Amino acid sequence: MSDTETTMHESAPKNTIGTNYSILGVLLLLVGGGLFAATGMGAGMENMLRSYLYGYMFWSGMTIGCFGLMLLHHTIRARWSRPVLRIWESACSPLMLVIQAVAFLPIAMNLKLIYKWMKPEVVAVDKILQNKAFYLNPTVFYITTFGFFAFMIFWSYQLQALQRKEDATGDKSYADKRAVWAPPGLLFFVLLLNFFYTSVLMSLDAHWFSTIYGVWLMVGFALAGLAFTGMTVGTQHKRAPFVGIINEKFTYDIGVLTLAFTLLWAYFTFSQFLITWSGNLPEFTVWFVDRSVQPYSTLAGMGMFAQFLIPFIVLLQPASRRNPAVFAALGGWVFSVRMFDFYYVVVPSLHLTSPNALTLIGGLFAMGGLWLLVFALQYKSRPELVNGSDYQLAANHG
Amino acid sequence: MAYEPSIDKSLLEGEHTEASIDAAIADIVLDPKTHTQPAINHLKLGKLNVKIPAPEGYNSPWFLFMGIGFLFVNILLVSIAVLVFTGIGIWGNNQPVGWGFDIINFVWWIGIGHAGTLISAILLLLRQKWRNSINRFAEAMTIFAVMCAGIYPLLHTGRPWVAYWLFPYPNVLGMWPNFRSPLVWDVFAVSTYMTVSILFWFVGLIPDFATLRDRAKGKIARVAFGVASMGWKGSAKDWVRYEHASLILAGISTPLVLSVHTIVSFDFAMGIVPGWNVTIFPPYFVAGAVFAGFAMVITLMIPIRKWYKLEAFVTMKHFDWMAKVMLATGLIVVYGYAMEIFYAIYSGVPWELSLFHNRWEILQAPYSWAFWLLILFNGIIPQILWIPKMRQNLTVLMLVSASVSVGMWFERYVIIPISLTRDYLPSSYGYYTPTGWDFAMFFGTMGLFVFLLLLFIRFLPMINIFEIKELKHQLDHEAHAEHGHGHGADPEAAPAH
Repeated sequence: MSDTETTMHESAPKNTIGTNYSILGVLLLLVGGGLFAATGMGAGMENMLRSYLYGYMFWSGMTIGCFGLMLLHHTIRARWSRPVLRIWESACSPLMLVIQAVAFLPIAMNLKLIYKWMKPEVVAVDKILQNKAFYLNPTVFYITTFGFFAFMIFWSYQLQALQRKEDATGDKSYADKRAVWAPPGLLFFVLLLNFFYTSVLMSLDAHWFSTIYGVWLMVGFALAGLAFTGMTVGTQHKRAPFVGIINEKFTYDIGVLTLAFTLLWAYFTFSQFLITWSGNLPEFTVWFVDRSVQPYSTLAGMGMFAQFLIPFIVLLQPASRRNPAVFAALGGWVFSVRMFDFYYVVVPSLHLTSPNALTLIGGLFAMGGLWLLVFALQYKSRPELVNGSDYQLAANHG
Repeated sequence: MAYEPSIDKSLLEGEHTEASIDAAIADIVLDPKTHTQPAINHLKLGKLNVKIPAPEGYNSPWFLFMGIGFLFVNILLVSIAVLVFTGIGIWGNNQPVGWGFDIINFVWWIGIGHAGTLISAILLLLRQKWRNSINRFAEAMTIFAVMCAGIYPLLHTGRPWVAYWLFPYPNVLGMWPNFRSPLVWDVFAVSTYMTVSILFWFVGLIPDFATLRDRAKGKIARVAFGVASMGWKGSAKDWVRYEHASLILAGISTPLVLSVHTIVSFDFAMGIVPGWNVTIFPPYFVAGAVFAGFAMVITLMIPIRKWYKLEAFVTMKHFDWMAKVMLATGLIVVYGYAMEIFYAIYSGVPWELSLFHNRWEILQAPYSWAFWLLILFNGIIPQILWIPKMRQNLTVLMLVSASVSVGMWFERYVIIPISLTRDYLPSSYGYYTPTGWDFAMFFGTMGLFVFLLLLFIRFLPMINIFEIKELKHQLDHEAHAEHGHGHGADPEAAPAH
């Protein structure tokens, strides 16, 4: 880094992440909440709750994705991702997780209005549901969902507390302690996440099952987390404290990881489809049959084009990976497309009796507003960079 | 701002010059004496101390294992000859198990062949410097393992002399492959993988061939390495072209690493046999392949490193990283087992539940012994690698790696015969018993693998000479930067950690 760049680093204007997301959060909360209430009231409690589930699960997925990225960062003691660790920490802070657990209560308290397996008259005539009753019952549902939140709150608190101690003292031995906590955390996370998604989303189609479902959603949300990160810091790379740190080297690294997750997502999606299509067994094909009608079949095609092909072509170019502005645009694109893809994954399974896209969008926006508001507050409440984020400046100074 | 070096110093131990690196690696090829060191001349069995009655030089590990390998190559040749003249009825395959040892061993060998390309291509793209000391060896292992794997489906066609019918070519017979069959996909995937792996291996060898050409004293060696080095002069132009070729081949190889074992998993997942039509198979097979591949690299690298005194180049840091990769991929594999079992129970479908009972119930289910051995070898024993000290203990590493190799074989055994002998109709239930010929061919391919690997060690540099020199250069450069005398480390050299 030249002296001119160093001066730029010191005199750059302050970033606007906290302010931008606070304003956007309030706006989305008001607009989304209004839309959800106005269009959902007449459709009945059942439809409202199911529409809420879509919005809720997308934004809880963002937290889950960022939590996974934070665990991965500490497990492999990554260095390149230090400049954005605070973003991931804010997205999965203990407060954010507690709020998400509270926001889950409307779903947890109204299982009968959402899930077929909660209706005794349906289970009484369905042999498969009787066989599945050991898992598809309220007790297991509460254990696998609130247990997952409890695990994430505890682990998030531990790792973030250790990181804060290092930031305050500069003592690098805290990194060793985090590296002890993170690998088993990652192990439990992948396992518990699977049960969480099985209980909340897979069981919406009570007969259907797919062994790849949990990790498929996890990869999708890690991708969304990376896209959100790229979008956030890519637009702020000329502002303090990111100037000189969010540089082409950083975007190259995060670009490679985004490319890897894009490929992984496409790989999982295609594998699941091909195996189901080839097997052609009714217990598996039912999921795709539900999605073979409009608008879902169009969304499926768009998903492969918009979420795989476009990011793949852009990220394959080294020049794109080295450009923070391109990366910010691509992050925004992938993040938006993830919402459509999640619509394709979840909405057909909701079996809405009077589907209304505006209620679904209203729920998505309202939950997004809440999420962004909490994120902004968490981000503002802590130092913007963790210890050692400026390692590239140190290396360049020699 | 504290300076943080981007390359781990422990990847290269001791003081080296470029000449000493050349000598340490190239002389293994150029000096036949390195292969005739009498490393094994006594066999200790309790109080007994038996002297091996071999002539001087022939009691070396190289000659000893070459002899064993050659013996098993002959067993393989006899097995193939008998099979070609008699038919595949000499194997234990019979209704309902149409696929037995042949496909188990095919998948096992293909899996072992995965570490090479992963180390060479993916770790190259991720700028991981620890790959430098082990990539050449792992690439060779890949090629030989794929050769061993290829034998099985070729022979299983029953008429290997017309195996070319598997390729789509215009012919008067009106023959055309069934492109919906994953077995045809295998033909394309494995042959492409083999071709690209050989190309990648050869391109990587060119600069080292030139080093051997320049150091060789004998005329035959000079001419042979001279031809193989394709006129390499070490000019800037040569290096630019080499770097481009390497990156292109790494780019092509990376999807191949995933695609080959994904397609191997499709051999099963495309079917409707209970326990096969499983959506998590593709990633779990790929992770299993990497798991098995790294286990084999560790198993072979530990003794070879000792015999050829390569401790400075293959350090404990390399073993630590390899053990970590093995642990991580092993956990993915165990996650796959857990998901298979969980969803078999969760499904509520009778045939999926039955599959679970057939694997799980000790004493009652006919193959539960194989399932529990699999869990022991792949699921329980490798967990010892969580302890850092265990990753630094070569005896433990050797035992764990061997356990993984056995476990990965059992994994395929559990997937294939259990599902085939317990499908939807009780009338098609059966039990699979392999014959002596199955075992002869399996051990024969092991012999072929050892035989080829020892030929490789004898005639080609098993460690990438120029990449070790480059590593030394970068470490020197970083040491300079650390002391504040240089202009900083090359940011491109920073590993992704």
